[in-house]
Amino acid sequence: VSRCPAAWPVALVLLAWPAPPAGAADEIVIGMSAAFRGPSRGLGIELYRGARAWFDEVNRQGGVHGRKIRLVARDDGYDPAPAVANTLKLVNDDGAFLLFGYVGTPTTTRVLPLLERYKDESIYLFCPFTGAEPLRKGPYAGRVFNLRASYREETGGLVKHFVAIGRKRIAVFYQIDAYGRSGWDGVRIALGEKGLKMVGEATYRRGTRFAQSLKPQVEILRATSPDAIICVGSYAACAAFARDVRDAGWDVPIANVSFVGSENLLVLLERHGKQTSRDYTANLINSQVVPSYQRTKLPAVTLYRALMDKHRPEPPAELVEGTYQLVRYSFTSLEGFLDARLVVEVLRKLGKDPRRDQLRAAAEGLGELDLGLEQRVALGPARHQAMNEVYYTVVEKGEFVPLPDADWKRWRK
Amino acid sequence: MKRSRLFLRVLLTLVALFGAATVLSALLAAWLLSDTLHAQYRSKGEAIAHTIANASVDHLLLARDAASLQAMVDLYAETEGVGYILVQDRDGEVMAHTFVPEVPAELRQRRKAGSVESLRIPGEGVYLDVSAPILEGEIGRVHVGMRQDVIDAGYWRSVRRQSLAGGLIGLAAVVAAYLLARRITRPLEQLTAHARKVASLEKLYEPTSPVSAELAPIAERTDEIGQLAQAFRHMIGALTEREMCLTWAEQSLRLSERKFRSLIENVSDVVLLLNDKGEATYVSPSLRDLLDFSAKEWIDRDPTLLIHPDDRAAFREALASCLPVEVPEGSTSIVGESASVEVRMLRADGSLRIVDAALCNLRSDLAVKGVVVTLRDITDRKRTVELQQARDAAEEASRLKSQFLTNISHEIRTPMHHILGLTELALGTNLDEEQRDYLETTKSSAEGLLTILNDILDFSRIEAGRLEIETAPFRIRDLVGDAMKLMAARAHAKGLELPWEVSEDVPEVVVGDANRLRRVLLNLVGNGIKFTARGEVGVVVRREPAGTAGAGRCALRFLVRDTGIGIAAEKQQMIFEPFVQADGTLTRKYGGTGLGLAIARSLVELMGGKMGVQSKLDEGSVFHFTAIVEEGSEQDVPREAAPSPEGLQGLRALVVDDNATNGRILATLLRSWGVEPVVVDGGPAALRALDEADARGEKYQLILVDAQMPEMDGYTLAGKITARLEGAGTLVMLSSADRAAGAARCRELGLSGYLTKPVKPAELLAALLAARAGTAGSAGSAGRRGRDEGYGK
Repeated sequence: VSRCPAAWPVALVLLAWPAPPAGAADEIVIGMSAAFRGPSRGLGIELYRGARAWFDEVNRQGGVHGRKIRLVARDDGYDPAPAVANTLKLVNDDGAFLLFGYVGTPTTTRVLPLLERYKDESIYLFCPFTGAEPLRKGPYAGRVFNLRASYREETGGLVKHFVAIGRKRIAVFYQIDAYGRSGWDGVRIALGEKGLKMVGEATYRRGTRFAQSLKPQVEILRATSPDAIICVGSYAACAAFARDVRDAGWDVPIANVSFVGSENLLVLLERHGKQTSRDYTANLINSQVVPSYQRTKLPAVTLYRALMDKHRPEPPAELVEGTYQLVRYSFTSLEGFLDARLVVEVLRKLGKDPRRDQLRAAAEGLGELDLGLEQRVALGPARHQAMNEVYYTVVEKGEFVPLPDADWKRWRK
Repeated sequence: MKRSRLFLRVLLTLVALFGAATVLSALLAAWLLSDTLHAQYRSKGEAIAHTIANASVDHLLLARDAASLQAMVDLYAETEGVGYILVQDRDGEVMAHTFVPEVPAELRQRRKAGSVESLRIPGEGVYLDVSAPILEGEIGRVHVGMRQDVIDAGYWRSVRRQSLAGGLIGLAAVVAAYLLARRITRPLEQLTAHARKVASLEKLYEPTSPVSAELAPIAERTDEIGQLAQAFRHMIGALTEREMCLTWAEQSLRLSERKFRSLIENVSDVVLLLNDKGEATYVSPSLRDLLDFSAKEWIDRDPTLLIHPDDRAAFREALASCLPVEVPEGSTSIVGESASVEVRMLRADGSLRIVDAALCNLRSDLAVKGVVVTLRDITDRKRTVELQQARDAAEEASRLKSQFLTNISHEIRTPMHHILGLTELALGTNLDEEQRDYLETTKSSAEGLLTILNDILDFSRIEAGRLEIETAPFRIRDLVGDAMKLMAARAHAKGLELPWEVSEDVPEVVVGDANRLRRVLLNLVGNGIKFTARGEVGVVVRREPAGTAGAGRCALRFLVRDTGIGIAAEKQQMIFEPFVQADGTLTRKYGGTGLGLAIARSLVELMGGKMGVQSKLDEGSVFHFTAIVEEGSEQDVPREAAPSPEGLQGLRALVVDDNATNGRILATLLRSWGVEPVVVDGGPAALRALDEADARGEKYQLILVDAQMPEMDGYTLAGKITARLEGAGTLVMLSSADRAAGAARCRELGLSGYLTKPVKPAELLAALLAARAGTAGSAGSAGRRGRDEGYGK
């Protein structure tokens, strides 16, 4: 029967192997596909670390109803195709109870149809690291539970603030994919609401590195004489764009959305600034979907910082290549921490015997929840996004600090 | 190996053809493919555009979610060959696209829908822009740009692949063509090279390596090349055969030519070939031998000049005679008119040679075309004839001289006989002592003169070759006995014994020349007696070993031994020459003509035998000769009532003889008759023997006594014996002395018989038989003398 005798032992081992730990009584597997490699790996790694800080703490305290939470991560390199493949593996092989912390719009939007496909098995995605619209509206919105505000809310806020200070000529620099289009669309709609149109737009290709030149894009946008530029991209490309704008002697305010991973952006710009003895952090506004981790008066931030320091979560060793300098605190890891808190609350609501088919009901029945932020978060049948707050930050002394609304007028035109 | 031009041309043509075909087919295929690719990309672009257009309806109309639209666009933008995708709303506002860093101006302004056109975007390249309306253009439109460079790349890739494949096929074809062409051209080259080689060969056939063997591999092929090679081989074979025949013929011709040339040039005759003008067109080299002129010098010259002026006319006449008169046209030409003339020719040194010139007209013979003259030197032949004539004359003269001598001898002899006869008669008359003495002297001188005459006569006969050998049967023992008896008187006068014997194996009767044989024997015995002072002269006849003479014949060897003065070794051959004796002085001392031995040897040689001598000075000589005779039979020589020795059978005989040879011969004879002989050497011994016999009570029935013995002679002994025996035995006296006196004394003594020595066996037998019968008589007294030949002295 067997052409290869070696196949027999392998087959026996496979038969004897315990069934996927989905039904394991003492743990809950949470699957995560994100960029752990490539130009956007900082996002996946930091998001993972923040989440682990809370999961580790929960597990340390005995888990959820006695079940330990195990976060299984896979790398998709910020590419749609691996993200889809990872999702199938997480569900079928790893026995993920739910999906969590997906990073990126093009990746996540491609996964959405899969969730629909596994509708009967009640696969839900919790707290993806993207503000794209398809996760909040449209046919697949029911299968996703978000924590953060949408890109439209971020870009809409930015447009609102720029227009308020007289900077009505808004141009957009965006990643030419679903993510970039999502931010672009947000800006377009926000401007349209004010009866305005974006004055210029320029794109870049996903995966662009910091070392690459984006001067053509700078020239395209500069030709339209914008009052402000809103960037919808990843940190490496946005840092490169900011560098090339400043290198062109152009001090136009540049705004980035939360997905950029502010700390990663800052690291690149500061490092480059040191080499060229220039300050690339001026006139740089980053919108965030979580409060600044400097706001230590917030109980959530306090807890976050404490647990980050306490558990010092490491990125999954098997996924990280080369050296990666851990960021002690970051908006991204804080978001991951808050994501984890929300998911744990949902799991707690499922009781001792969690079942997937009860997941949606549990999440939608969560209601308002105090995570130690200024506002309470809430989930409900008509609300699959727990937060709507957008926070603005600028760089001061090498750190992102909150930008109070009153401070916007410094860029008044 | 140098490629032939044909091969190169074939190869190049094939390469060019294949190359052109390959390139053309590649271009054609690529052109077709270009169309196909274009159509394929166009339909692909249309499919994508329509798909996006259909899917965009919801996004644009309902959700107005640009991100979802972008996600879809991104998905399709990954399709191979798609350069860009652009989605515009009805106002022309771009809702999603794939351009970096911005949408090109060329596309931003486009409003046409449902079109396909080529679009060049600066800095981007050329695209096949396929547009599709969304909801019939009511909502917007989709532009899909299919990359022309991909289409072109596909086209060129296809061209490259086709070319590569075509090239490989072409290469394979070229290789195949090369091999094929080589397969065709190589044998052709070999054939060509071979033909060249054959053309350059001096000889086609080589026994060690036949030329055509090299073509065998090609000729084994079954295709046209093989047939060509076979044809070529056959041609070479035929050529070789023809050449061999030619060579053979040429060689035989050359051999034949050489043979005849050699014949002509090596005969002693000189061969000339004269043309119509009488000039020599060929002169054989033997002219050098004949006249000591170089043959070359006389080419194209008139050879008549070599002839003695007096003979030239004769030669020209002969030449003219062998030339036919002018023959009329059409008649058969006359071939081989010939003539011959004897001329004298001049040698280079001026001497003359007599030459026989034979002329033969061979002008009609195409190979000769002239008159062949053969010159033969007959000078020597002429000289020989002369010599022969001279010799004949001399011989005739010699013969006449011999004839004269014979005649003279005969004429002398007749009166000599008269002298002898009359002297004999005169001696019978009463004469006084003085007269008797004169007559005795006259008689002996006449006898000597007669002997000399006979010898001279014989010799002249022999010299003249007129002595002929007669053949007739005779009894050899009788012959030897008679001859010995003839010499007995002379021998006994000198006191010499003459013992003789003939071996038993010698036939009784032989056929030969008895007279000549006797003559030789008498001569030798006579010489022996002459040169022997005392002792004996013995004769032995033996038969030479069989096969010496031939079938039916036997060679008899005669030995004549004496105990005389002998002959010095250096003289031994000389003595057989005529008129020679061993010593000039001897001639005087012993007398004689010196012709005897010469005559004897000549006679022996006439009878097919040889004569020789063995001698030692002072010790005696042995002359020996052989004679070839035929064996005869008893009937040839009838003998009336040959006495039988039967009556003597078993008798005892006493032989008394002081000569041992005689005693031995007698004993042998007696034994052959069945008698038991006892030989004693003298009277006293005989008496003792008789006493001993008496003592034993025996008797000797026969007693043979030699008359002349020292101590006691035969007669004395006979007297004593007869006194004792009282006639009891038969006593025969053998005497070499005077017969008449002996016989008288025997009768006185009353002896049974008396025989003169040497005793012939027949005589002895007859005497013994007669004595036994009681009749005493002198049976052997008959003295048959030889015919007329005198001998010795």
